[in-house]
Amino acid sequence: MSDTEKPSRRMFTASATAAFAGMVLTACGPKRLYEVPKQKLKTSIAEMERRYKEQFGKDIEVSDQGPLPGVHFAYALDISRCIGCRRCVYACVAENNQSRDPQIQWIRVFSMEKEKGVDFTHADPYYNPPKVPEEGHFYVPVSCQQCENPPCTKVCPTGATWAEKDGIVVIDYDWCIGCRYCMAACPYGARHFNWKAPTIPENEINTQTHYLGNRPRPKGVVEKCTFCIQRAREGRYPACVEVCPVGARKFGNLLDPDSEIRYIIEHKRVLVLKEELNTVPRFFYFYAT
Amino acid sequence: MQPESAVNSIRLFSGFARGSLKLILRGNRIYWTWLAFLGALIVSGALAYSQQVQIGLGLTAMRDQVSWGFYIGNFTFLVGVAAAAVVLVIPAYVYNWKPIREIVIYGELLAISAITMCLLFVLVDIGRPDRFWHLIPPFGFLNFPSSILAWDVLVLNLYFVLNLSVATHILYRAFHGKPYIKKLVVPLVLLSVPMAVGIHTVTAFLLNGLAARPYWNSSILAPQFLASAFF
Repeated sequence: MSDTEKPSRRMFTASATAAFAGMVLTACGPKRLYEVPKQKLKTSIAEMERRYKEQFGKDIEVSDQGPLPGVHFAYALDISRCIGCRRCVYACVAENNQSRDPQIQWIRVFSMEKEKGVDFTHADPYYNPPKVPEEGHFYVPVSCQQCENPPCTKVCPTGATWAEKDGIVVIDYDWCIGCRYCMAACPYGARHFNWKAPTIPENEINTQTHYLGNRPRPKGVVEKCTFCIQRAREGRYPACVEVCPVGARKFGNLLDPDSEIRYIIEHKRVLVLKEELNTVPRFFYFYAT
Repeated sequence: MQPESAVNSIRLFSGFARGSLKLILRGNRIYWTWLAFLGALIVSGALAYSQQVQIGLGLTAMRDQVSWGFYIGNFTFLVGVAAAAVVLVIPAYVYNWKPIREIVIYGELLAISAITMCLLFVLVDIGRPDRFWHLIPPFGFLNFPSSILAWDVLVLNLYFVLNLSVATHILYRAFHGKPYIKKLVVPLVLLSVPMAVGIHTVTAFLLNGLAARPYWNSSILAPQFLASAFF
């Protein structure tokens, strides 16, 4: 067909059909952050930053740092050292933009009796003595165990949560429908729901965020610990590791044979919680002393 | 189908719809009082729900430790009602006893209303009802077959469509004073029996498949659900 000719009816129909098919295909294209291509991710993140600027009146940086090759994160916690001070809980709240009212805390510290050992039926997460540690008690902080075989990701009906290549289980806050099936499936109570619109005082917002981690969440979606993905993927320690006054928390690369985490697993008495459920946690508890 | 007959069937169906509406709107004082009472309940529920949408699910006093409450409990119960309604069909066909077959239509209608309530309970339970379409491919993504909830979404909607079409057909034929088409209805009704078992079993598996909840995670749950549907 030359340029001077008028487009035929067939041409018009064909191009209109093609345009419509293209529109449908775009509408059906990937929208979950799980599968968006790199280029589209950039525009989604620019859109998030614009939205947060509007909402908080502040520049919030959303990183799209992907998993590093040859890295598999793991965590170890020394039960014999933990004094139950809950500094990790509040460092986590501040770092990860958790709601202050209603309160959401990704770490729960259980007070247990030395007589009974690690026993969740006799554990108290609401202990409130004037001074810790209490006589005859020890403390077990529990947050997401970053399972290798996570029951939560399997049950999600929309595929809004998954394990990243570096082992971190993440949630797409823009895709979650808030059915809370993952919360029923998690044996560790690690997942938390935004029962009301989260509130964070403006001057306390952490502006360094990650698109799968601590960026501000909306009402009605589930959230949880991500090993501080925004820090870990930059080669830094999670906030709870940094703040722990007794050095009970250890973090590192499971694939690096010289890492502290490997030393602990190879040389200390190590346990994982609810081993019988075959979740294969990447969060190890140990007794160093 | 010829165009005239298509127009004709549309005319017949709209006649059925208008006729049914007329029948619904006819009744004595007690009937209207009852409808007004039910209407008041619906309005109060809608008002409460609009508040829940504004404030959040925290309004229900559910919290992280007990993250499923009244809504999912009721959903499970009504799945049982829907299944039980159609299980009525079994004696009608197994014993080939005519009078009980007339009850089948009531069973179907009860199943439809129970399933409608089921789906509504799930809808009010989710934190982001505005994102409901995330479940529907190709616009969304249904995590099938990994998530049992995806199975439940499928099986409940299928069961709903099946019962709705059977009941509509029977009522439509009855409205025009004709017997229903046996070849069409009997296979569908017989299909709805295993489907009734299916919706109840899948709903049991929904709770059953969670190793994290020791009391749910037992093999007796699905048979127990079925047994309670029968009684």
